[in-house]
Amino acid sequence: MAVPHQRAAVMAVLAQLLAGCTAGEVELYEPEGSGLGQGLSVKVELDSTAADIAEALGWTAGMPEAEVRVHRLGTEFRWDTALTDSAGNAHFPDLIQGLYRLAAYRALTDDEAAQLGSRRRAFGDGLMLYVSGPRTDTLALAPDRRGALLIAEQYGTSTPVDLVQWDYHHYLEIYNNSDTTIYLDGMILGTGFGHYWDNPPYNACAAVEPFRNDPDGVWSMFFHQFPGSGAE
Amino acid sequence: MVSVSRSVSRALRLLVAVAALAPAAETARAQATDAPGTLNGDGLPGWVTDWSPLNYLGDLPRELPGRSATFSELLLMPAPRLGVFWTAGNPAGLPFEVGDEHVQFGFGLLNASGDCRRPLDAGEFARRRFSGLGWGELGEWGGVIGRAVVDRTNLKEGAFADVLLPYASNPFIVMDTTGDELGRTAARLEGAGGWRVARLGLGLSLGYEAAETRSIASPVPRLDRSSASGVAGGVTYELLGDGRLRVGVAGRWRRAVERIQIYQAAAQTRLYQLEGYFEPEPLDPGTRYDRRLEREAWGLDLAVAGRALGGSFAGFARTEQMQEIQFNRLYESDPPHDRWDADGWTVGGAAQRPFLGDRLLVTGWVRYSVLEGESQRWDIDGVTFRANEKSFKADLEVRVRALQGWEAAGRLSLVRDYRTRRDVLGRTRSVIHNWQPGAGVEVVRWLGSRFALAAGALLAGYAPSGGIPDPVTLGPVTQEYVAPELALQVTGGRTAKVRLGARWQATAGLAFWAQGEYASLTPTEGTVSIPMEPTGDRSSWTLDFGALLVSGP
Repeated sequence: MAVPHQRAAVMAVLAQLLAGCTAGEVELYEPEGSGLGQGLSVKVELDSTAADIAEALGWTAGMPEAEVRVHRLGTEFRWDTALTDSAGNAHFPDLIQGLYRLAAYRALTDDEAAQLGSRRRAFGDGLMLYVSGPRTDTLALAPDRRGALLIAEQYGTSTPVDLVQWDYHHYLEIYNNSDTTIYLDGMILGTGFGHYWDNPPYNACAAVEPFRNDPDGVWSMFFHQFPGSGAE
Repeated sequence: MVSVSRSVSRALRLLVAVAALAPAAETARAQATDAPGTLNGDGLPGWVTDWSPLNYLGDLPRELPGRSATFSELLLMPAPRLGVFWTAGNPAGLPFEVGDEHVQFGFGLLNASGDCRRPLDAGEFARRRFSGLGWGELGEWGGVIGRAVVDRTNLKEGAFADVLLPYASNPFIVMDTTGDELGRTAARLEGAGGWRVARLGLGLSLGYEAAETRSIASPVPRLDRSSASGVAGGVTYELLGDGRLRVGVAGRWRRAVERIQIYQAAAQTRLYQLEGYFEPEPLDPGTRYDRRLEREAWGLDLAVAGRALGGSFAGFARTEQMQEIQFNRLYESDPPHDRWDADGWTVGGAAQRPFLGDRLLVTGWVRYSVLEGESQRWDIDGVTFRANEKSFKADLEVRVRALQGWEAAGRLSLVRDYRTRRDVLGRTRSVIHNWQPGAGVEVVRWLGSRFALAAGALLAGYAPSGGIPDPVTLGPVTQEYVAPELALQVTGGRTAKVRLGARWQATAGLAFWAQGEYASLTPTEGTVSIPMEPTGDRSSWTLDFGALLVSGP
């Protein structure tokens, strides 16, 4: 008769084992107040060369509704954006430490353009900054200008020297921002010393210093010149 | 001369046994031959593996619930041993504690599958393994032990992890979205030797492990090469002769290196360097991605063992330090690196006492580990992630020996984990504690003096509580690849294991054996509904067979 008692005891222990093994109190946490994130405040205003526009549009205290963007270098190219308030202030409350691109842009609305004689205008500025703590920066947006050749994108400026690197595909994305024809004939493009391969461990600082600091001109690993004599 | 000749002969047999790559279902506890995502990977009892110089230092990897509950290995293993060597892993204790010779070889299969898993566990896991284990006296004054393992593992169905150990304490994990099948070949060789001079014991253990993990066929080939080296050296002294009181001190060092290469040969993948609960930036590395992991750890042990009150006891205390750096710019002399630093300590002990003559043997083990770790990203000043983890484990085994051809062992185990992991950058944390009680029984029936059958069953529970980040507050990548593991950690569950085995004693010193085990993990429905909680079950089975070079019952 002892066996059934023992069996019952074992079964009771096993049942207890199973019954006790459900999840107990489980809480879902909301994000906590502060991490390593740093706040960046940006004041956006019009450049002093466009003081008349600021006066006319009532933007002397700051530019409203400008789009401000930040991008942390070394990460996927994805902007964080914010719009300025009526006083021209934008705030990014939680940037992690690092080197950032900061840019701001504003185009006039139809109503605003009408106040300036129906001329379309746009304004922009940008800089790079290192965020390591709360900071405030000011961007003075310059107005658009006619008459410039704009190089919007550039990829690859070296001359292929071997068959290993994929340096054959070069391109430039350019805009003619003027109201007349601009000829590229004779124009020279070069890349200054600034890429990582110009620096240690590939080249010692001392080795490239004379080229960086040469007051007589600009040194480049490669120069490319457009053909033509002036109007071809 | 006869004695010397016999000793040399025995030593040669042992060395041959150790060097030949071959047994049982033991799982090495180092990185490459570990089997995360399975339920019954650890086939050897802890006292057989605690000495390994390749064991983790300063790390408490997270396992699936119930995996740590093990059988007593009644069919293959002698009665549990304890001491400065067997409990604390000090090789200088070997010549005093090695006891009878034991050598086993084996071949094993392991397969695990099922949906109840973590996101970085492969959906299906299949392993073939040859291994060998042996120990014995070396002459009159020495003792040796060694183990060799070679295995081949296939990871299928969502093998997203690009590192060997995706659930270590360190939050820096590399993964990508390819998930194609991986094949891993790993080899491990480790051994220890100890010698005694009067009451003084000296010992050294060495271990080396290497592994290569490759895509089987994938438009995004992935390659992970790793190696780990470990060494432990120690000294013991018998304060009271005849094993009544022995003390020891040992130092240990372990270094592991892992290199990851991913090629976007014919398709694109999304790479993520997970770093806790903070949303990682997707990486599009172009044609090739490289990352190197360098892990270095140190430990210092104090141990004591002896006999009292008709039984024996052992205890130890160990401090541990681990530092890991990870970096992508492989060809720079001092590349910027992410860094993980962990400090910890472990105390443990064991006691054993026979009752009813030697018919009943009761053995108990306890172990408590504490770890604190901090991570730093290369591009950010300050600590970005902190872990505070504690783990307690206690086992009690009762063996009944040689009762009219029957042998039996009952085992109770209790695990208590407490892990707080705080992501400073992500501004959130998880605080998870759990109880894992387990109970198992094994029975061996000798049919005559040559043939034995064995059967065993084990049940383990998992009862968690605590808190995790609300998944909706996490980023999309963290939701997909991190949050489900947190949900599984706070979901109750139970693990059941059954095993059958047989042993044939061919000659007085040679036996053949076979053993199969099935394990399943089932989440239990609690009163709390947890977002992303796991569904389905997970099961794994092992089939092992081999030879034992020991005498019969």
